[in-house]
Amino acid sequence: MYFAPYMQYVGSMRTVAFAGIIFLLLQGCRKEDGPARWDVDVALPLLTTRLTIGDLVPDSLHAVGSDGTVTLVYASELFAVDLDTLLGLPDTTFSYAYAMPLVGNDQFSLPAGFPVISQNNLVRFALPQVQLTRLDIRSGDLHVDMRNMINSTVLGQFGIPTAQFPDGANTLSVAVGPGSPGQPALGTVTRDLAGTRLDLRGPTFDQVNSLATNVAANLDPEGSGALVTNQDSVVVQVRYNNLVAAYARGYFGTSTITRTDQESRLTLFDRFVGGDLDLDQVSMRVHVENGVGMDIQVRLSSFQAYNSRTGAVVDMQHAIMQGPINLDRAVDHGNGFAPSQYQRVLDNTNSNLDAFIENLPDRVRYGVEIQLNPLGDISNGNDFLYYESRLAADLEMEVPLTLIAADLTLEQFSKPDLPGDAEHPGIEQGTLHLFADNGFPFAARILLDLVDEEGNVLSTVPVEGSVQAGHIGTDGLVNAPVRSTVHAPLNSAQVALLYGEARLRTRVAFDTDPQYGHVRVLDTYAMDIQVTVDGTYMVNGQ
Amino acid sequence: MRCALACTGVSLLVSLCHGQTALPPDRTVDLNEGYRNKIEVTGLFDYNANTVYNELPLAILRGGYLPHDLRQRSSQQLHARRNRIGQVLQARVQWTGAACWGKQQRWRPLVSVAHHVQSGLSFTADAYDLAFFGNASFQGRTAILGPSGYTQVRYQTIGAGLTDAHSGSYVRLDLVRGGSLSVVEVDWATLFTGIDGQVLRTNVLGNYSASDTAGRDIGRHNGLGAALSGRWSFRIRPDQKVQFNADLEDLGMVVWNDRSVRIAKDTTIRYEGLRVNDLFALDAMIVNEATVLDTFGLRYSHGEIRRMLPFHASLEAVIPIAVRWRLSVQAEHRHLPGYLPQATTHLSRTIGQRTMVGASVSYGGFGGLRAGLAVKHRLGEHLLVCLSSPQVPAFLLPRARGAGLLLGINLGF
Repeated sequence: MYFAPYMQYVGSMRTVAFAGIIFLLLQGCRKEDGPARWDVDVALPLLTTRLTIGDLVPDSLHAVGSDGTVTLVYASELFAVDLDTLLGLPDTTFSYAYAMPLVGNDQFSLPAGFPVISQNNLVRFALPQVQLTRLDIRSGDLHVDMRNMINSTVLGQFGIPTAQFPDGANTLSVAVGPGSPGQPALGTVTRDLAGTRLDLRGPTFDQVNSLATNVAANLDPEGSGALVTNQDSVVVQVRYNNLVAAYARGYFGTSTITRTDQESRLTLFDRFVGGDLDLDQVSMRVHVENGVGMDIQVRLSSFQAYNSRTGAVVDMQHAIMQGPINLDRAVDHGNGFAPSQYQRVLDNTNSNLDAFIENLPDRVRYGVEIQLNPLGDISNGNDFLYYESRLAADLEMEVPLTLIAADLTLEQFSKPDLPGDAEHPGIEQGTLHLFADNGFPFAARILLDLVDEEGNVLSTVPVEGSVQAGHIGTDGLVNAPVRSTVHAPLNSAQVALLYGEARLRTRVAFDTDPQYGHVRVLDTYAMDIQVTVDGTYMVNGQ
Repeated sequence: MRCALACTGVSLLVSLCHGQTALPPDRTVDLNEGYRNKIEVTGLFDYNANTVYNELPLAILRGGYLPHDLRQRSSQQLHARRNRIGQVLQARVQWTGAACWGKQQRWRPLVSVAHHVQSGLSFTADAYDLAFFGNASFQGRTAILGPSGYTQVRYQTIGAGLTDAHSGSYVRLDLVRGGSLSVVEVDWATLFTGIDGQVLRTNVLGNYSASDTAGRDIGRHNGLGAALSGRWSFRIRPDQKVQFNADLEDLGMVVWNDRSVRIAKDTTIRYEGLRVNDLFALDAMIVNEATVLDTFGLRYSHGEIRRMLPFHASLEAVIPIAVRWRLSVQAEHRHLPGYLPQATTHLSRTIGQRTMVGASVSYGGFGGLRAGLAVKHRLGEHLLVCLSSPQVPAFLLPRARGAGLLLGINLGF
């Protein structure tokens, strides 16, 4: 009611005009293009770092001498023969069955406590070429299953007189309820065999792989006996599962293990993707350990340095390739063993090891033939092995860093985390500046490429300038770092690629000055690097 | 956010009213004092700057790309120091009731609810160029970034008081609800940029404080306080024709809660890039807000902040110079960075019984010289509408500086 006096003005032209002005003002506020954004030219330091030999070669892969010289030290397993290969113990099942000796429809009444089965047996494990006299079990188990078709509870016992369980016993008991031929009753008992010692010489101690056992089954003495026919029977099944030896003794036979086209990864040069490396001195120790109580002969049929990037292969040339490596048997101390060792040092005086290493291999290929007991049973059945026994060969490489490098190229891929996204990039273009104080005795050229996921080059970033080598004195050592500046302008198209799927591939090619020949690399050498950017950034671009 | 605020402000101008008209009171034009109830709705938006053209904040408000030449035009107008920008956005609803004090018939109760957004900025030319053009042009030299100051405060008030319906004097005590606060006070700051960006070196003596950074939406409650407002109108000439108005608004304080943040720096920072341990593992390098804060030592401390409100004080003399003409002279100040005392001269004339028009010239505040127009018109006996702008050229020239609009609606019944 109070508003009535002024409601009359609502329809007037003045009111309509005023409302129109306000509407236009409101329209002016609409941010159809998002928040205000503008481009600014920035010059910023991005990062600083100090590049040392530890960054090029991990600490675990190099050693520093008392004079500061650096030596690459690399160890790798060449091959190993495990316990399963030397002594496989297959799962084994033995059955003991007893049927009632009755004819036709004859029936016979058995009293309570009647002994249905009472047998002594000698079972033999199927172990081709291996003749074990003793087997100590590290792990594994024994299952005893009894199937009863007699209409009375049956009490069974399985004994291994030549075995000794950790608790001193050697018998397992099982009770099975009444069954029938159509619906036999079953009973199972399982025993963990860890720590069990088996004497495999049989009851007369002159056999191998043999185990004396006895099986007994009686009708329940507390029961009422049973009426049996020729359909009734009791079957005992014994299974040895997943046996692993803690110790074995006997004759392990004469056999040959052949491995061809084997490869072992060598990660020492993984960061290098090209160029030539000339090393002054190299050495490699081949070390073979025999922890098994039998004679072994090893033949290296091939030993190659393979560079998978270039496809180049260098065959090792050394006497080790000519003849077999004879490994003495380990010594059994009763509660442990002393392995035999074999070691051979290869260097650039007795082999082509320098060429082998300078191939910058990422894989070592080899073929090997391992002959067990090449002279037969010369131990008179006293071969042995422990669970810890192993036959393995290792490489230990030592490469003093005294070298000549020619285009020796490191490669690194990175995906810069740029502000914004491809649709709303925060950066339009810019120039990366690298300032380096190089204390290493080699120069470095930087190559920047934008590559796709497959490594195909999408665009190359022009790099102006290079990093000069440190100043080398008359003693052949760097006595002062040299400052260099490198500029890498990225145009808007290249920045757009980086906002897409492209990655930045950085390659650094190292060169030593030929006039100095092999140059030594010291642990104290370093290169101080600063990277800055000078570019156009879009405020609120993202 | 800025657009939302601006649109909110413009919307308020359409619908709100205020007791503080730009024109002097006139018993012929104004509503009859005898109404038992009076509701006053006011919307006020006042933006001003002394160097930056309006086209820049308007472009920021509209959004989208800001062309280089647009930014450059304002840059060319900057002083080396003491460039100023500020704005006041205010909406108020006030009810004045009937006298109920027995013999004191002139004193009437009032209740007022208001929303305030105020900001002020004082900056150097180098700070502007750094923000809008980047630091590349400063390679090899130092940018002077101080003294600078910035305050932005948003608060709401609800209060009650008494007003003398005859003279317009009033006193009001408000409860203040703090919404958001940002304060930057830089006594001294420089930024040196090395050639090719090899080094950034900054010297800073200043502090930053802000209300809870977790939420700054309009409904957020981040502080509590109280404020006193009032006006004393009096006439001193023997014939009682010259009227003096002494105004004080929002003299008070807000205690911002313990989630407020504060950082004070008196330091030199030299930055040559993030230190990287492994150049070959740059992808694993984590550069996030925490890294940057740690690198530059910009971690906040938390705790209560007590801060005065951006009060406004003014003194005005209204001098009748003819039958229908009045001249008023006003000096005012607002407690915000970059605000200088502002002087305004206002010439007004009544037209008939219902309309008053006026023109003003002012100098100071956040800007320089401004020319404004005002009008108020009574619609019937119950409704008075007033409209004014302190800077009319802003509606005509894109490169003017400052803009503002005041709309008031008084309803008596």
